[in-house]
Amino acid sequence: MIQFIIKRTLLFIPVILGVITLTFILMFIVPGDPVLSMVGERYDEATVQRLRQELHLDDPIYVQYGHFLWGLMHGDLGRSYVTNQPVFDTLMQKFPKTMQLAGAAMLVSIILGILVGIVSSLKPYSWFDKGTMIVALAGISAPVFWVGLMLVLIFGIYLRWFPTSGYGGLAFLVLPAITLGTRSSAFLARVTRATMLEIRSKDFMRTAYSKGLSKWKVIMKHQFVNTLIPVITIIGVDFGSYLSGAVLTESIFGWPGIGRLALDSILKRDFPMIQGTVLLTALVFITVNFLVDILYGVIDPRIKYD
Amino acid sequence: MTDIVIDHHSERSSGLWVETWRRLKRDKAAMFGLVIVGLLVLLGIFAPLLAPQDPFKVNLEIRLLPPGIDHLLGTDHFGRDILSRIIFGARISLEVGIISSTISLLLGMLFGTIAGYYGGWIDNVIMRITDIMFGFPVLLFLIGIMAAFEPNLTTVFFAIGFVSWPRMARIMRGQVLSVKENDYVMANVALGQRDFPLILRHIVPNCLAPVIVAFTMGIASAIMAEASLSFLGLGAQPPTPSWGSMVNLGKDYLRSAPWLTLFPGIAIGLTVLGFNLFGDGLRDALDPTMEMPTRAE
Repeated sequence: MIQFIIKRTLLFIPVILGVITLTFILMFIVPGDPVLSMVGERYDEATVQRLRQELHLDDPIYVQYGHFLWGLMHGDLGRSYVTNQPVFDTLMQKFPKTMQLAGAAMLVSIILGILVGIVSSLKPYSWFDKGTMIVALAGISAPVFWVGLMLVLIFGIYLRWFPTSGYGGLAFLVLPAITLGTRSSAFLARVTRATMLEIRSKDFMRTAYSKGLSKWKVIMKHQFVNTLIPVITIIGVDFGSYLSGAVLTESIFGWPGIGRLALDSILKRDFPMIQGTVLLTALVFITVNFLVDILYGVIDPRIKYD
Repeated sequence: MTDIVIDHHSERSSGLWVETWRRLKRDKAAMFGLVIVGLLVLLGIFAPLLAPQDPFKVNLEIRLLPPGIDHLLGTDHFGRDILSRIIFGARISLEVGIISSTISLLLGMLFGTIAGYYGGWIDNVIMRITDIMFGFPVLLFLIGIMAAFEPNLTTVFFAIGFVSWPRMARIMRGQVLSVKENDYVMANVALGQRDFPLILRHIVPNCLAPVIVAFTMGIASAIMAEASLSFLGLGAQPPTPSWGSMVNLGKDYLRSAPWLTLFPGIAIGLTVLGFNLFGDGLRDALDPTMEMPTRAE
């Protein structure tokens, strides 16, 4: 177990370094002079010179990279071109709001997806199964932003059950969470159903029934427990789509998180902020996947990493 | 000797495709997907003939008309016919799907084959690069790339192709690893055939099944990615009738004219559904035991 965790960690470190380097390169090749976009139309040579030196823009690329890494280790990602606030502080202020949204979406998707998946698998090819699987297929194919707008239209504008946008109490969270969770609940429902059906025909299931266990005990203790690995995989893999989906969802609902920050920054060409959001989301994503991998080892001791 | 091997290969491959089609025909969902895909292709190719109106023609006197006899899906805030814009939009989705997926296919096959065939340090380097690229959430990666370039459709094609090759490379690598263990490959190596013709004639053709499935699914992902970027205003620019940007422009009229948002969204969803269903069916028909990604990102 310990060996597995160490091996997995050793693979995790170069990926982190690679992600950091790629983000640096991406912003290094951005055309245009960042200083000129900072000072605006009216500028004097002295200010430009001072800023160029402060930002190390006249140094060779490897020195700039060194400064970037050094800053990163000290939680310094530079300052926004627009607000002049430290990028790191802004990220830390917005990030919890995205996590709140992603957490709520995940909750929606786990409850809805697993529940529907299990119920569908109990009577395969029944009308409930067929109906929900068609809905799930539609849920996987529908664009996140469109689902969000339709929810706003129906539950916000026509029925007036929930606010159409903004950040605040629980009522504000409902529509964005469903928007962001739809795709993955649909996917989770399909995977849960498929895995449940696959396990149903296994020998240990017959053994469990012939032991005289009640139907629900067999379903929960033997059948469902074995669907956990694929289900957890989906939840881990889907984390990236939560972060991607957050950009779309936050832009529709005016949710003040990382996704909206990324979009605002790109429209204002605020490069340090774009760099910060891309880097942060990537680091969160690979960390989640790392933890999911470790979790496999804990849940299923048969898994070995080579 | 070489000739015999080629014969053997071509015979087997035609058998595989005939058999696949026979199985595919029985799959109702896959056939439904194929119909949608076929319809999209026809709409894309014959857009100028099929569209009832000029998709760019502005007429403010008929702005925001609800769906009716003259304009089956209504008109937008410039009085443009939405049905015509959706028909022309099929062209853009088709282009982005095919061009981006082809870029990702070529890059993925190239790097995947090199990694799988040669192994060793080059395999290690390529696989670590794919690990790193998988570390970025797709849309944020695309936003980062779009930040560095002018937002227009050509940039979108390349950005999506560039972001999606690692998946293809991994699939290709896995295939090459298993195919190169076959006796006929060994025999050719023993006969002293050089790497390049060997890879092209004997390895690549036998790796294609999962690659084709991934290509089909990749088209769905690419269409969805372009729609998302255009919805955010980072892809196709007005007045291009991209479905994503139509939803983007329509969202300001959600209250008064929801059909601006409703119909282009359905077009995106149906198209993605079509490619996903067809891809799913193709996967099952080619090889029921094959492990493959089951959806668009």
